[in-house]
Amino acid sequence: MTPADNNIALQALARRLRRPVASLADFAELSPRHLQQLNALVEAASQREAKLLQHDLRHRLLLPLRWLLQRRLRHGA
Amino acid sequence: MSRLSSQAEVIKLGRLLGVSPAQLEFLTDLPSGSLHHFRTAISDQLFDEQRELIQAMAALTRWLPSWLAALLARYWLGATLTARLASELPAWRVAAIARYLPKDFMTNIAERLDPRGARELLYILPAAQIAEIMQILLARRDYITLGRFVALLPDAVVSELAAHIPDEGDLIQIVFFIESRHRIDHLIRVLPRERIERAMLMVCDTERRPLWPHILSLLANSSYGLKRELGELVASQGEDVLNAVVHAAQEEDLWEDLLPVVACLSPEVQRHVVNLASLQVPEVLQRILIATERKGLWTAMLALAEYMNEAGREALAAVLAEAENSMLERACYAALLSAQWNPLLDIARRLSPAKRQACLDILDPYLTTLDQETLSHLRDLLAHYGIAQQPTLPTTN
Repeated sequence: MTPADNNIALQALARRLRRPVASLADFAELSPRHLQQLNALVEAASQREAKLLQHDLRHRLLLPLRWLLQRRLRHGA
Repeated sequence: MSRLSSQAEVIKLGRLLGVSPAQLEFLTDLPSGSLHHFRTAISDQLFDEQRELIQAMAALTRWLPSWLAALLARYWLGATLTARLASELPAWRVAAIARYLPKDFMTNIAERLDPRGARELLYILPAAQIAEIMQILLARRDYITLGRFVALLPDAVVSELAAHIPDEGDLIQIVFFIESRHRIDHLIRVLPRERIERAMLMVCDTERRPLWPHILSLLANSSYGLKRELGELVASQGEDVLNAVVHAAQEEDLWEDLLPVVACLSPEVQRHVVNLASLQVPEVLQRILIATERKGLWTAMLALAEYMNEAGREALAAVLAEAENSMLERACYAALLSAQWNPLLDIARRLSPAKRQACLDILDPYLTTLDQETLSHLRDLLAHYGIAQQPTLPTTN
């Protein structure tokens, strides 16, 4: 791993966080492997949060519609 | 910024990323300020997920009466979505809805609330309601959330809350995870003095050993006067307690936090501490020098060396003899800046001839920059300690 690899990994992390690379200057002393690991963890956390929200939004917002539909189906039967 | 502050940041980061702090161990050497900035960036991004949809929902919520919004939040939306909605609503509106929500549900929201919008809300919520939420967080041992909010609360509410927390161990843990570490000194002054003293005296209780680093964190983040006052309170508990603190600092590598505290103590107490047999062990001194190097604490280190007895200086010289010359370079520079030549040269005279010569080589470029009086004083000292003969040194014009 070269300093160039380190720079690339740091830039990827900064892009992921939508922050300037200079704001992560102290992270430059980490190895590229650690920077990639951080990037992967941020990505995973972001996906987890998005999934949780989407699940909540779909499940909870559609709940009244589902309830109405089930009620109508029961009455229809 | 200290190692303990960085440890607290790593624990908070682990929680945000959903991994154990052990997986982020490699971050502990980074400055806590940078870790805080990194964590804030991640938090901002997580809270920006699906923001447009949440904002649209918040716009609809504004039309509902508070009691109905509370009912929907509790039985339909759940804590996660409600917390996100709360971040998009004005604080007064959230406070109005919160009046109809039970404390358990409010606590679940508090855990998920976007920190960016929490300050104003905490100023509006009634102190009694905040106290109820804090009690539940305490029962859940969620010190991270508690630390996040305590930093934002008005002093009067903090005092009232502290009165509801009977165990000083809990107080110490909340302070350890506090979001704005510059607030620690202020908080210590807001809390009753006897409680802070009782918290400090937990170092006498070996059953509370896991909390000792947190106590040190409190000391390390307090002002000079408080460091001295509280540090001396601990020191007055006797040699057994001090030895236990030395062992704890060694085991958990906390010297970079402890050294500045020791350097704030009164000369008599400093003398007592630096001459503890448990501190003059090569392994301990080695770690102390590593911390000194890492955090640029040579001025504090030389001030402590001033009070060291012969055995201590011999032990320190033995450790320094094994170190790189770059360490000696920084020690010389610190001595130059703060005129701490005596302890440095008294240690240098105990080094091998080769190391003593290295010391002279390091000093050589400085000598030409000194005024005549300082140069003469330094030359006398070098001669006094047998490190160099006066004629071998250059003179300034």
